[in-house]
Amino acid sequence: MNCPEAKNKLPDLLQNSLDAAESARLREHLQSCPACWQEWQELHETWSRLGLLPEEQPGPELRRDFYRMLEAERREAAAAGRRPWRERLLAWLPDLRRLQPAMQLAAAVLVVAVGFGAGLFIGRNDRAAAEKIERLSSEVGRLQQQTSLSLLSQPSATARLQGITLAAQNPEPGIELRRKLLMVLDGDPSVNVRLQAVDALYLYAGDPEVRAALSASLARQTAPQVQVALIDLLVAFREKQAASALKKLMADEKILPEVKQRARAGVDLIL
Amino acid sequence: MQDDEQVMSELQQGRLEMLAILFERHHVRLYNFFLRLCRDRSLSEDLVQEVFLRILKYRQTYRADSKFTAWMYRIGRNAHIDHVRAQRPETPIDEVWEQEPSPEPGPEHRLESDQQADLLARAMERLPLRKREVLLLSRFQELKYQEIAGMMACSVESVKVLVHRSLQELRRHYLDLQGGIS
Repeated sequence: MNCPEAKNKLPDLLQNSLDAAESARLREHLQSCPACWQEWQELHETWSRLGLLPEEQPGPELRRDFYRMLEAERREAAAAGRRPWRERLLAWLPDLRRLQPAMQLAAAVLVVAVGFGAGLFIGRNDRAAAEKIERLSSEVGRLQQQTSLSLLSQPSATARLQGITLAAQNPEPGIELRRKLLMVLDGDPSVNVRLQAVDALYLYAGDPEVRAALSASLARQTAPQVQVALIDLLVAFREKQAASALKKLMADEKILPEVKQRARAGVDLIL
Repeated sequence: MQDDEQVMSELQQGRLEMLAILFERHHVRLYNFFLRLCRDRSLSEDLVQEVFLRILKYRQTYRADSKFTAWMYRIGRNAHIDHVRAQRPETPIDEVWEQEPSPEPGPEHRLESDQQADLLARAMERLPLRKREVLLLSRFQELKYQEIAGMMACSVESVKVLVHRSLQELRRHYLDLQGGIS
C-alpha cells in the first residue's frame, strides 16, 4: 500500500469499516511510514477528542410540545377521516399562508364560498346535497392544482418543495401538473426539489407517457441521489422500456459505481 | 421490538401514534446533533419539534428500503438550513454550506462545560457548516460514509475527503484556541 492509498483509507479506519485484510495492510503501512503514522495519530486524536462534547438532555417542554402536536394531528386526521372533501380542503389551508397576497385573497374567497355553499346545501335533499358537495370538492381540487403550479414556478426552492407536496396530495392531478412535475424533474437546479418530484410522480404509475418521460430523464440526471431515486421508481413501475436507459447508465464512465450497481439490480428486476 | 423501518411503515398506514416511538428513541440524539451544530438550546428544541412535524407531514415520501435515521437526519439538515437561510435570505444555498459561522455567542449563551470541551466546541464553531455536519453525522449519529454521501448528494470518496480535512481543520482551530488561553 502506498501513501495516497493509505491516506484515503484513514477515515474508514476511524469508523472501523475496513475488512480484516485491508485493515491489516493499512496498519502495516502505518508502522513503516512515519509521515502517515503522524497523520493518523492526529486524525485519531481529534476524532477521539470529539467524544468530549457533552451530551445534554433537552428541557421537559420539548416532550410536552411534541405530544401536544401529535394529539392535535391525530384529532385532525380523525375528523378529516369522516369528511373526505373537507380533509382535502383543510390539508391545503396551511399552504395559503405562503401564497402571494392576491392569490391568498382569491383562495380565501373560494374557501368561504365552498363553506357557504356546503352549509346552504345541507338540510336539503340528501342526494342533491351530495352532488353539490362533490362539485365543490372537485373545485377545490382544481384550485389546489393551480396553487401547486404557481408554487412550482417560484424562485425559492422551499416554495417549489411545497408545490410538490401539495401536488402529491391531489387525488386527481391533471395533465398540466404532470407536465410541470416532469419539467421540474428535468430542469430544477435543486437536488432536493428534483428528488421530491420523483416521489410525487409515483402518482402517475398508470400513465405510459410519464413512464417513457422518466426513462428519458434518467440520462439527463447528474446527481447520484436523483439517479438512484429514478431507478427505484422505474423498477417499482416494472417499466420494461427503462431497461435500455439503465443499461446505458451502466456503460457510462462518469456514473458512480453505487448507481451502476443499483441500475444493474434494477435491470434484473425489470426483465 | 419493532425496528424503526417497521414503525415508519405503520405510521405510513395512518397509525400516527407510532411517531411517539420514533420520538422517544431519537429525540435526545437529534437534539444533541442540533445543539453541537448551533450551540443554542432553544433553537435546537425547536428544530427537533420541526423534524418530527416534517416526518409526519412527509411520511409518504419515506422509502421502506432506506435507513430511517439517514432519512431523519436528511430532514434535520434541511430544517436547519431552512433556519439559517431565513436568517440570511439573500445568500445562495451553496454559499450557506461553505459559510463561516457568525461571531461566537457571548458568555451568557455559552454552554457550561469543562474547559477542554468548551475549547473543542468553540473550535467546532469555527468550521464551515458542511464540515461541522459531516463530523457530527459520522462521529455521533452512527451513519456510514455511504449514507452521508446519499444525504449530501455526493460520492463516498468526497465524504471521506471532507471528514479528513474537517478533522485537520478542527485540530488547527483547537490548538490555536489552546495557545490563546495558555
